[in-house]
Amino acid sequence: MTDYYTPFGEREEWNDVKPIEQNDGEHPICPIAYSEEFKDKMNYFRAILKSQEKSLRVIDLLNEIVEDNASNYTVWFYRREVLKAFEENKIDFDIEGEMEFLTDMSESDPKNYQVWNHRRFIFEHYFAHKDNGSEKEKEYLNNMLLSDSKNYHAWSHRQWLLKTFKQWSGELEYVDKLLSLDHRNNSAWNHRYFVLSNTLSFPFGKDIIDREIEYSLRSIKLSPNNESPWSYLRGLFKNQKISDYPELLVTLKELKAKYIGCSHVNSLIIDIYEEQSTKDSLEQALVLCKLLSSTVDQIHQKYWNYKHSSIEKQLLAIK
Amino acid sequence: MTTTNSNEVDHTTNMLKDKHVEYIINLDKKEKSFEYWVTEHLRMNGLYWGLTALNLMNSIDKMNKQELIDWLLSCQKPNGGFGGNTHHDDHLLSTLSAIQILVQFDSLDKLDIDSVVNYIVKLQQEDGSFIGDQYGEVDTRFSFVAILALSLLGHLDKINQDKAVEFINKCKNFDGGYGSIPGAESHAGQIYTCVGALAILNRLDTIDIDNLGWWLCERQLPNGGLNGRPEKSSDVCYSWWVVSSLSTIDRLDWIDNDKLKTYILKCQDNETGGVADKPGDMPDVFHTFFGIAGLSLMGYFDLEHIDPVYALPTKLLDKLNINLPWNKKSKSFAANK
Repeated sequence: MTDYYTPFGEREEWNDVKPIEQNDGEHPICPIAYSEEFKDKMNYFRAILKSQEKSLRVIDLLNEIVEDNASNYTVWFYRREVLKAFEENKIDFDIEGEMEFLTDMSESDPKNYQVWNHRRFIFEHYFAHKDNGSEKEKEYLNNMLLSDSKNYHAWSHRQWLLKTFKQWSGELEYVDKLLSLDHRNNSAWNHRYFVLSNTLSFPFGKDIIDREIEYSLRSIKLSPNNESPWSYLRGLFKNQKISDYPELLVTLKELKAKYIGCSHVNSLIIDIYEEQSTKDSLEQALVLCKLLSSTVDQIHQKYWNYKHSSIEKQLLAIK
Repeated sequence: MTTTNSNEVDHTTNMLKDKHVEYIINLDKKEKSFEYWVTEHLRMNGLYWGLTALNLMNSIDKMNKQELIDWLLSCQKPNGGFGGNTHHDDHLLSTLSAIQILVQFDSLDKLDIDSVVNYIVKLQQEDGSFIGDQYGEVDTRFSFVAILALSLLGHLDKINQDKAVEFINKCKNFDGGYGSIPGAESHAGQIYTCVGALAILNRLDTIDIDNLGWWLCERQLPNGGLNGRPEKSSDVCYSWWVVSSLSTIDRLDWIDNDKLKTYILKCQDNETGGVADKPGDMPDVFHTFFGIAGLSLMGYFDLEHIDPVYALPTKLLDKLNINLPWNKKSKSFAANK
């Protein structure tokens, strides 16, 4: 036990509360040996749950508990109950302070679902309709994603914010910024797709496709073996044909000659050939599969062999 | 086993089965440790991980069945769900673990099945998704967990299966993978849950199998280990999530199994037993389970075979007459051909 911890039993303002000990029965199967401090706090929490007290001192107690263990969802749930009671009874509460507390919590424990979930509640109820509310939340998220640009929770929160409150403007520029810092950031590529698919409809128009082909190729040229822009590029053609963009195939063939060891460029060319589904294109696809399985991408030999045999079947079917 | 000297076994080529068994059965004696009490609310999951790992090593009899069942039943709440521990709120995740534990103790009859079914059914939302608890977190993980639990209890017909499939399909991404909610990035853990749910609901046909298989086999890194997303580092937990997904869609040979085996073996702790997330890290029960389950699925070291969807020994599922058309080691496989 740390020296400076004052047990709740010795705190004057908690005199009136009788703590409730955890009852594990006489012979607990899985006896839980908490640290003494945590046990003390939970004893008081149990008492509060029973009395359903909703006061400022309860928030203090809850702060101390979640600082030890942020994953206890009952504690967070009760916290929201307390906040709702404050609102109903018009009890003055520093909601900005609540948001700052959450920011601190998420900085020390950035992958805790409960913290993010609570933040969503607080934002929606108290900040969403304020001037610059969404902008500030985006700023916070920018900071979180600056320290870990792949934090799944931060991305989910951002996507929820954009979608729920229609905050799409500036997002593509934001993705540009992240990708200029790290063009291998798959989360950012996913986000670009998320923004496009939520603001446009499928199939994407020719202008968009042309723009995005150029965008992906720019990144591909920086590191041709980076799988993210390749997946992104391939994903753009939902509900339409890649072979409708013949100039792309020309470019890919050029890249193929340049990036000898790159499986992705070959893979996309094979997809286009398969889509064209002519005798000639399928035969060319077979040559590429052989090349990949024997030299370029031996580690995925089984995959390319599989691809080879399925294209062979396709070829037989059209002959 | 080959020994390097009289006591020491080379853990980069051998599986330290005895040590892992010892590691797991000693876990509950570590109650004084910090990680013990911070994971207190996850005890039910922890028991499932430990118990299943023991089962795969044919050592489940080392656990005290009666005591554990008594404790487990004390975690059930009046609403039918199970908490992670005696004094914790119910959660869908701990409810599934409780069911998976009872299956392994051949004790499903101890369960008031209707109350559990009722609890799970209520977690389905209008859009077909599932929440994990009364506080409303939606995640494809919960779709899987609910579907798996109901299937084990024989009550899949109590939910809207078409809607459940519809929601999972909304979480399918342009790269063939799946995320936690619509639009969220593909992640190997989420892929395992989506593929598993679709398998149980007999809708593997909705998966873009070659595209997904390619994405999954791209997760293998030069060190043999697997990552969960592009450009992330390898971690033993993906030895389960990626391997089970590949196995369910019948593409397990698209990764180098031998290299992955070596990676998992290197993550073993040759002093204490147990498996860590990465070579040289501290072991924990979570990664111990995932490492052993991965080895079992790939067919190494004469382990009991685990089903890639239900994450339980295949022979127990066969006993329950559960249909496993994706599982070549199951008696139901031949019947489906």
